[in-house]
Amino acid sequence: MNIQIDFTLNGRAVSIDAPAHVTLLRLLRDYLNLTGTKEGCAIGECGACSVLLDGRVVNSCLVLAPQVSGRDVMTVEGLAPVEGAMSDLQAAFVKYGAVQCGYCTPGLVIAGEALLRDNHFPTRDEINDGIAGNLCRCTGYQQIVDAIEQTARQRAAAQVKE
Amino acid sequence: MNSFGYVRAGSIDEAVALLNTPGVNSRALAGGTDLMVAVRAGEAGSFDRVVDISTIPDLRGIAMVGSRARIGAATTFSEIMRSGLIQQHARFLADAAHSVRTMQITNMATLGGNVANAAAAADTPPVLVCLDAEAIIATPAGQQRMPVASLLRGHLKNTLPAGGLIVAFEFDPLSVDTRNTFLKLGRRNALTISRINMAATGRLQADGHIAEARLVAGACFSRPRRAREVEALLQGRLPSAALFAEAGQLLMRLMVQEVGQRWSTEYKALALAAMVEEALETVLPLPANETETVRSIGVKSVESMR
Amino acid sequence: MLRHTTNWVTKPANRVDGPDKANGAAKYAGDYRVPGQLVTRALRSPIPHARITRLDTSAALKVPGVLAVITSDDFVDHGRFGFPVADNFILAYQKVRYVGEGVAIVAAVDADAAEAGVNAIELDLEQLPVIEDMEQALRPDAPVIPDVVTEGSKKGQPNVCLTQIVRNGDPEPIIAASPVQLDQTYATPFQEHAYLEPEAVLSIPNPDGSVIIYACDQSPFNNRGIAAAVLGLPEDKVRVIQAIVGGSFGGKDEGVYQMSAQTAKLALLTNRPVGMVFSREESIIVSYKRDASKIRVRLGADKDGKLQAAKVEAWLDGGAYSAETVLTAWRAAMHLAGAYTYQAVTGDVHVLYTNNNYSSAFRGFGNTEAVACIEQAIDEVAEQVALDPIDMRLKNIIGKGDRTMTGATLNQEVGLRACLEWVRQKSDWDRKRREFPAQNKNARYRKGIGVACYFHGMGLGGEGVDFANATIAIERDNSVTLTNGLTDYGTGARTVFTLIAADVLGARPERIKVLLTDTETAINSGPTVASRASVVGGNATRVAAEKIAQLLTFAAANLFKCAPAQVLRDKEAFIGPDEEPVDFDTVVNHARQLGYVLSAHGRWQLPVIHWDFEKGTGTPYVGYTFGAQIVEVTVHTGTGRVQADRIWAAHDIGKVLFPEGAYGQLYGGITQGLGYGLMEEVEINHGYIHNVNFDDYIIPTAMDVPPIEATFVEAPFHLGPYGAKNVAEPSMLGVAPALANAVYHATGKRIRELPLTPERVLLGHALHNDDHGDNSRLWLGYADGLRKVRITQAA
Repeated sequence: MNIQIDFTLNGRAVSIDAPAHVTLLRLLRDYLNLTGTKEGCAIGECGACSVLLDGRVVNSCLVLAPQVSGRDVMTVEGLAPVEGAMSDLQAAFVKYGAVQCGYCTPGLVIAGEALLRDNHFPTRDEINDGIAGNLCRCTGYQQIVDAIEQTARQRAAAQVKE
Repeated sequence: MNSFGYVRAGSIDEAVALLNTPGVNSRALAGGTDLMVAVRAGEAGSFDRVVDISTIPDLRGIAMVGSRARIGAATTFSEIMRSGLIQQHARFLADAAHSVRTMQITNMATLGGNVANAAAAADTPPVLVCLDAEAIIATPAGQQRMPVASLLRGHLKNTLPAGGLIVAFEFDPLSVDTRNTFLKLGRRNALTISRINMAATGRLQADGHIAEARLVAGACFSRPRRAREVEALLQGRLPSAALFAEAGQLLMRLMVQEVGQRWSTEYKALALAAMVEEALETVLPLPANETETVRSIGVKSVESMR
Repeated sequence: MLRHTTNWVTKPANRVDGPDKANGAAKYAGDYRVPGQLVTRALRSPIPHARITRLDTSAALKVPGVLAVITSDDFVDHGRFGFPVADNFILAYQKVRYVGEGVAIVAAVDADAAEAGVNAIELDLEQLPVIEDMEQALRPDAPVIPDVVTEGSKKGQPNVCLTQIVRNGDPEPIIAASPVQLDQTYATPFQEHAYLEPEAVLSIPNPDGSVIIYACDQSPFNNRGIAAAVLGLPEDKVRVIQAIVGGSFGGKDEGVYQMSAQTAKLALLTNRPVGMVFSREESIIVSYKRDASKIRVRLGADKDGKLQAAKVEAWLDGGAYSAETVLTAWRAAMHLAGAYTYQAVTGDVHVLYTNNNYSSAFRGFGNTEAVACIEQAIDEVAEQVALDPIDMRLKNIIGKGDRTMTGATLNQEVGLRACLEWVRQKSDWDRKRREFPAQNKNARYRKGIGVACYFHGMGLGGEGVDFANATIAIERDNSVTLTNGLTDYGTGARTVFTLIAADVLGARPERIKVLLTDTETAINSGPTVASRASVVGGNATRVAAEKIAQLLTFAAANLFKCAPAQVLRDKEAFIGPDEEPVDFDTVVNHARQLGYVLSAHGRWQLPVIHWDFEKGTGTPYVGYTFGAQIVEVTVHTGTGRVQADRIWAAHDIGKVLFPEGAYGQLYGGITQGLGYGLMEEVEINHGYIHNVNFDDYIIPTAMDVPPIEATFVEAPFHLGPYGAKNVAEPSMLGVAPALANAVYHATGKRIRELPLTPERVLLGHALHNDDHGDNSRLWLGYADGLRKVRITQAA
């Protein structure tokens, strides 16, 4: 049973025909060829498939594709101001050694972005709480927390300047 | 591959109508955090379409209605966690929602979904039962009310009337002198299925005797229910470590009586008793001299042991 | 030629593959989409042990959309492979030996067709008795699992694959005469690698009958060798390109080689690209694990706590196929008695066959198991002689010139004492050891602190020749292209190679591109294992870069009309005796005009050492890394929940080349050790894995990892590039035993079986869930009853 799904994806209007029973994750990867969003467990336990839905972080493996009709979806590919470049948070992930194998990175960047939009001055404990839904097997999380913490400071400093 | 259709309901009436369309086996979809996992494990095929109720305005929101607190069934865990009203009147419900502890889940999961799914280890039902909350249910024949405690029949089983849809929950806010707590025992600090969870409230009389105590343990009994036997034991007594230990032993015996010896009972019985003691100490503070005997150095909050 | 100042190595640097990974552009094998790509589904064994009495795929080929079906018959010698013991198959042959073992693979146009194809395959299995644990494997009447003649066969124990030994004197009489003795047995669990990327492979056929395999493998050259052999092709007809790999930790060897050969065969049969991507459940059920072990430690010490002798015997559950457990066992044997000096040590490590999935490489490779046990035993002896655990260690650890437990003399700088002293001071150890036991006995939360230390042999050691090859070329646009036969599956090796090349060449890292390892462009360097990339691969890069740097120096000297020795370097600048400095591009262009060929090959090999496997004597490794870790815990005495509050770690890894990468490896290793110590355990009941996804197989979340305070002690290592050693594996070693020691300190309960789950801490023993295979059968496709698999009892 195909269904037409109209939504905003990374700031652009998208209209796509897909079966009603596919997940948002499959829609992104298999129908829209946006493979930055990863599948790690498909049951909402690892966060590798995290995307922003109307600005809030969700596991795209637990969202039914037609649920996003009329809504706004942001994936890892949409965070940078220019396609192929990096957002400040993505650059901080690289700078602070928060990237190793990289498979969890898109989901963690999305979760970090959601956290920073919600909480401009998170403590390290709050960051750990905010990324608890994203498993990482390589880094032990320390440098991921560093990257998010430093980005918060940079953003705060930039706001003061303005 | 099991396939199914999708339809989005714009109002409660429309949702009830869609869920009861003759000849079409429909399933309500709210946050999807349980349903999508079940679908992947092969549950699809038992229904023809999902009815998306997550965007119905009347199903969302937290407000006082008269003297009662009302939470729309499609209100998400995140909304409950952030609600000043819940923080003020039933903080342990916010704690239970937060204990799921991943933003990805709390942004989608709904209170109605958590109750309707009726998983034994679900975290919010014990709190709702502890609050004596009522569910308001829409059916083709009109709305009806049911205590949450009687909605839950067992693991993944509810007693919703056929074609019924939970619309909201209502409960009396806790009085200002009532303490409350939610405890969760998992195998790690986040993203963890509760081995045992527990909701408790307590109020002391001016003379230090226990005016009222309520206790609900989840993931131990066939369904969450108020431990009236334990509550009766506590009523009118003075808080003491010995009394709380007795309460823990009593609940432990009740658990074994009700569910029998399972593979995990040897452990859960002991842990349950320890959690009862800890919950009661939180909601029914011990006299200062007694506190010293259970906590010495290195005390960590229960929160950080989740 | 060691340079004394560095421009890029050892300084802050960005990981070369960081940006693409952070913005979602990086392509993993499961992200490839090519026209005409087929999908696959596997028919897998629903039971742990059986004879295949009938396998008929003809009906599957008639299913619409199905293009090919393969079984063991489609491969040379039935697809037999395995090193050192060739007991494994690309697809099961004659028998299935574990739940989830592949029997047939269907390639089809879509998933539904592939699934229908699998459901059309007829398979008859005659059930055999199941060996559920190591005790059963050792029984004289046990059914024999492997189809090869094992070492144990000669002794009436055919399920003993082999025994790796250490013979350093005779410890028995010394232990018997020691005033302080210990005889305890410890156990460690099966551990799942839990790399975030489930396995994925894509094979693409070429018109000339050759095939390209994109794989998430660790060692593309090993992959090519196996694929070529079982496909019956010369190696130059199989090209393996390593995709970006989403974590491995030792876990993407044999299983990915099977997938590679399977998809390559299907691609050649159908003349279409064939992809295979595992779900998490398929990954956990099918892939190999860290072996579970039982280790009996006997120690003798004098009454002051000076260790005299050790006799250690270990049994590793290797599961259905020996894979690399044979080598794991050797490394375990080389480390069984820890980083201490003894008069005499013997070690015996037995590799056993069971029907519990199968075991192979995992970070630490046998030493993780060894350290987990010996470091608890050392604490137990320290308590007998009333010594502080750190004092006990300081009294007994090896130093330069000492004999290690294997009897070889240690001829290198040793930073172990410095490591122990650093963690002791930083953690406020002495105060906490004194004060924590004074806690109220009834306290609900009790604190404890524990230590562990280790040594870890570098590289392959006696396992094989330890070499690597690198190439380097300056391209027409003056960018630099690097290849290395050792690979980067998330470790940061490509960045280390880049920094070394940059430093030696005097070229900005931004100029340098390290190609993904491709068997057609890189040169075979053996397997990427044993944390050897930085030292061996790094040195090969250095050798290649030095050749080109020399040419550039000659070109600059020619330009400056001076002697080459007069040319100085400052980053990209070349400085002659008089004139203005010239830049890199000018010198490179001049070198070309002079006709210099600006490409080079570098090969580097560790010195050859000799270990006598028969006698159990020799020199196992050219050198060691060292480290010490302290963990502070809070134990909830009512529930047995253990919380790690803080971790201190000091590691002697030689010179640190890429600090962000080294700390990242360290924190990550510590976190895997935390999981191993506290919560991770593949639960196998009657041959069935119960915890098949991340809801049940739990690893630490950000909320579980406490603050980690760490440092590197940089004792120089003469063989490493810039004096570097390795970090990847050793980083996880000390955490689990330090946890166990801390829990003992907190509670007085010695839990000799990992992980320290709430059940073990509260009750002293584990509980076993009542899953009899329902989880596994569901995810192997047996829940809906559509598979045509008939299971009969043996007559």
